[in-house]
Amino acid sequence: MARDVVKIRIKRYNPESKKIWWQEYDVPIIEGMTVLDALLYIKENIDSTLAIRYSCRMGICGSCGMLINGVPRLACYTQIGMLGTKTIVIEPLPNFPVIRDLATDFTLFFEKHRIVKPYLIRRDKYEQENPVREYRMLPEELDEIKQFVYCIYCGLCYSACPITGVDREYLGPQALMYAYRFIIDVRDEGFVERLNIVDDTHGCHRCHLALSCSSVCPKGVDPGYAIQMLRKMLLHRNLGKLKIRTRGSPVVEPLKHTPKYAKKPPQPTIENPQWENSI
Amino acid sequence: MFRESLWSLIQYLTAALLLVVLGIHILTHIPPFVETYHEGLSLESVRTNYRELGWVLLILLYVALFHGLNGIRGLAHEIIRNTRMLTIVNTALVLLFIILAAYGTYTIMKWA
Repeated sequence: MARDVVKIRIKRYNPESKKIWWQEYDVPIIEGMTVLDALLYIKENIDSTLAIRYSCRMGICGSCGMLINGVPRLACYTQIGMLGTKTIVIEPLPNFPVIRDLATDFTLFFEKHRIVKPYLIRRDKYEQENPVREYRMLPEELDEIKQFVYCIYCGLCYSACPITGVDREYLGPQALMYAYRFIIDVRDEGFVERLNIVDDTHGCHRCHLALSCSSVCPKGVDPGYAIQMLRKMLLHRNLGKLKIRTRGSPVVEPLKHTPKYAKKPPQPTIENPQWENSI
Repeated sequence: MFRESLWSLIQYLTAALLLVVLGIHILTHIPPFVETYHEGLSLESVRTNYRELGWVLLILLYVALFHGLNGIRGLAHEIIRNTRMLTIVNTALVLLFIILAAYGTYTIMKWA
């Protein structure tokens, strides 16, 4: 019995010869087959020179982002049947330098991610470097940052952003979203630093609210919302109305409602005399 | 100079102010404040406006100029990657503001 065949049209690039060309492959499809499956079929059976990046094959690692039929998507998350076309056009992610074929360079993307200091900042630098206990957080406070924590650094939002396309220094939706994620995290005390970082010429005020970042995110994260909230925070800061909740100190004793059957939390491994005075 | 959020705040405030002064400016050119649309554009009517509402027109001049040129500044920051070119454009915009504001002020004062 003849199997259905789909035509895969790929934009290829050879860095040695600097040549760009389109190449077409016929791939037999089965139900539930993803674009990544088709690319792996090509690589194993038709053309082993095709360069792609992938890892988990289940939408967790964020490695296989590419432009599929004109929309940035994860190849492992996109089923061929879902696209509804007999020809599938695949290109490398826009706004990223191409290394070879569909593999793109994420160096600048991660540099921008690092600029916003994507980690908990504490005023007490000793405590920051020598943490001994967890920081307390209410479930509803976790809910506020939860959607942003789901980010898998796939770069789809970055590639969909029209501003990133024209302004190379623009921090981009992912980095700005992460700045917001830590600013509203009650365990974090570095909001002044981060607000100053995003209040740059190429920070959150460059956003034109196209919201293509939010529409392409495979994890349902809404960077557009985060960027607007950053702008709101900065406006409130200029008007002297900014309020940020933070926790003053780490957990010093087990939570009141810890069930009796729960194990005792580990004891501090490093003693900090400053905490003793503050308790 | 300013942080970007302060530029934005000024942009919002000038937009709000523009709505008021531009509203007044348009009202002075349409019936019933003038008898006909044509009369609203006559030299005499314009000179009367300069005389009686000169301060509104001066505010409109400065606010509209700032708002428009600041918008161009924002666009320049997005599309110009060369820092030196950006400085040239920013300086040109400041000079343009000064020249146009001075010329507009002179015109309103002269005809008032």
